[in-house]
Amino acid sequence: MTARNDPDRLLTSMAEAEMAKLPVAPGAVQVVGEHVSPRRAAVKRFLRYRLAIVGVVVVLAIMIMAALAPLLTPWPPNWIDFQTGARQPPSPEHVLGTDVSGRDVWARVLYGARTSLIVGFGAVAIYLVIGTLLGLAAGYYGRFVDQGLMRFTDTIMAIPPLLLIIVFVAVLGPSIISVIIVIGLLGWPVTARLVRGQLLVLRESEFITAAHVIGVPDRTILFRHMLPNILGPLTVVATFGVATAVLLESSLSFLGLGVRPPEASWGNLITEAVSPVVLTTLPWQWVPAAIAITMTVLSVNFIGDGLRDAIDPRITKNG
Amino acid sequence: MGAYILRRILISIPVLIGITIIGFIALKLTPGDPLLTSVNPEALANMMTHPEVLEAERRRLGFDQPVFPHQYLRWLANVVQGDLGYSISSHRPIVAEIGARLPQTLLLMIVSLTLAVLIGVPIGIITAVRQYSKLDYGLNAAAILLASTPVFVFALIAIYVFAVNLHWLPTGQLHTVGRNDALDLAHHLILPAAVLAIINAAPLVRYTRASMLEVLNAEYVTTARAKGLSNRLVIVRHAFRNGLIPVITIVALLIPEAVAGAVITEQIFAWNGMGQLAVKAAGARDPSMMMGIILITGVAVLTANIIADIGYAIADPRVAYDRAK
Repeated sequence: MTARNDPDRLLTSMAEAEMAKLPVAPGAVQVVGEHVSPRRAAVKRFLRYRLAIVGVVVVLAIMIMAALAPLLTPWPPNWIDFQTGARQPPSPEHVLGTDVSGRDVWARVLYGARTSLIVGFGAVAIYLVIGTLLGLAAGYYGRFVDQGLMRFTDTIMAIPPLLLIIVFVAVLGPSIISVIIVIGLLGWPVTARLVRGQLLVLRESEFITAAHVIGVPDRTILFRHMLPNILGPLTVVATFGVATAVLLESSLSFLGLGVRPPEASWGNLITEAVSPVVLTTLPWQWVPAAIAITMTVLSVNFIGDGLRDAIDPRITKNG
Repeated sequence: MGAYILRRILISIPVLIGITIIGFIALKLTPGDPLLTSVNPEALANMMTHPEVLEAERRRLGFDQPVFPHQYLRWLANVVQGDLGYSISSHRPIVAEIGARLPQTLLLMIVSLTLAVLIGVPIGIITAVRQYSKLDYGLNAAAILLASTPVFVFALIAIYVFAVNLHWLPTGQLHTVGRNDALDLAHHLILPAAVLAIINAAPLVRYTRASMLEVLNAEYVTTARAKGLSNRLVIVRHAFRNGLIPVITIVALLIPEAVAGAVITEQIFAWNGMGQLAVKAAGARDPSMMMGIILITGVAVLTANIIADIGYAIADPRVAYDRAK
């Protein structure tokens, strides 16, 4: 398939196979005679993808709830309510009941959303910058810069990401900051490969040759002429990246290796359910967090799918 | 073909070195006395009472020399000879610890990946052949939902339904206490293997579908239809073979994700494998153990990828020609 057409690559990842479908330089494939600007056409295509709209609404709702958490619950997330006691089912006071230590589950789900979103967006922001810079360097300078950087990405990708992240979060000491830093520092290979691939094609295009000919400096060509042309595909990678980062954070916290209790995270709310007693008799402890993670990741994936179709006019014919 | 295989292997040498460097960084960044991870704990216990002996041992092992390249090369020489040092938590050699857990993980991975292919590929073909049917939409929706569900949530639901409620299968562990036979092991394997298989089958469905669709729209398939072959014959004789070649690559690409899934699954099912060991090592911040696990999985993934690349070139010789030029 498309993931295989670069002679110099050894390892690829599932995420990258996904990205391989992205068109190069979306501005260049516009149909002649269409009197709509490329951007407006893309927005139109995105809006046609109904699930993506649902995704945007859900993600926005979760963001607002996370931001307004203190207004939506009277309980602080780490407050142990001795009066109600632990393991109490939902009641008017505690709408989702209390957890195994007597804390309000609804409050912890709300504050857990903060954790997930901060990690999701924070980590992706870091690795987008790293990945874009390395990808630009590899794609633009080619030769041994490219070879060296690509072997480096191969190396990072050879080690299963979750394992690598578990180890380096443990090295730094588990905390929300470590999780963001480690995912941010190790997550860039897919972005770097994508940027490089797009640049290899872009480098051959006429307007870049023209820029070279009239003596535009390298840096201006890279950031003024090339970067804007790959923003579309980068947005798609970033979107799927947020979904992956949210899943990674919840997995780490679930394993007790990410966000440390008492700090709330969707992952560590579910950890307790490993005990069959909690699993069966205290569904309010873990089911809300499980739904929250799945809903968030699913919505972000829908947005990613919509964006990918939106920036690729060739796909829209099919639906 | 020979040149192609050689090129694949040569390209992976820098990656292999890269993996050892990452393992070494993990080892060095973790706080703690390097003597604890590199000297036999019994011998070390005897040395403890004599500070000057400890100091001499430190010098002998080169811990007073620069970390890079001196300490790295010395460490690499040991690794190549199969000496990965000692665990600070169990005081046993890392090789023994990993060796004891490797078979369980391999069993889980091989069974679940085989099942994933057996589930994912046929479903992928069906959805491609029946593109835009209700079945296609339904199965695709299920695949997207699965891809968005965390492994641990899926595993917990499986335990809830099949182990706790229906009592069909055990909730975890390798064996029932007091039993040690293969049948009992198989009984305990069903649930974790099925969970991992279904999670890994989801992306396989999507890629098999995409790959089959590409082939089904190819001109030779149109030709086959035009000469009047039945739909079944067109699919079985012409489309299958070419459509399924990329699946080799996809299965290899799945391995890192499958390892991640296995780490979580082993933890939930108390499956005594390397994933559980990794979580334990990270929890205890056991430097040489974390390093050992990075090395082993990195090398395993790299090897699997080389095998997949060679397999792909055998199935589709054009690949080797393309890259030779």
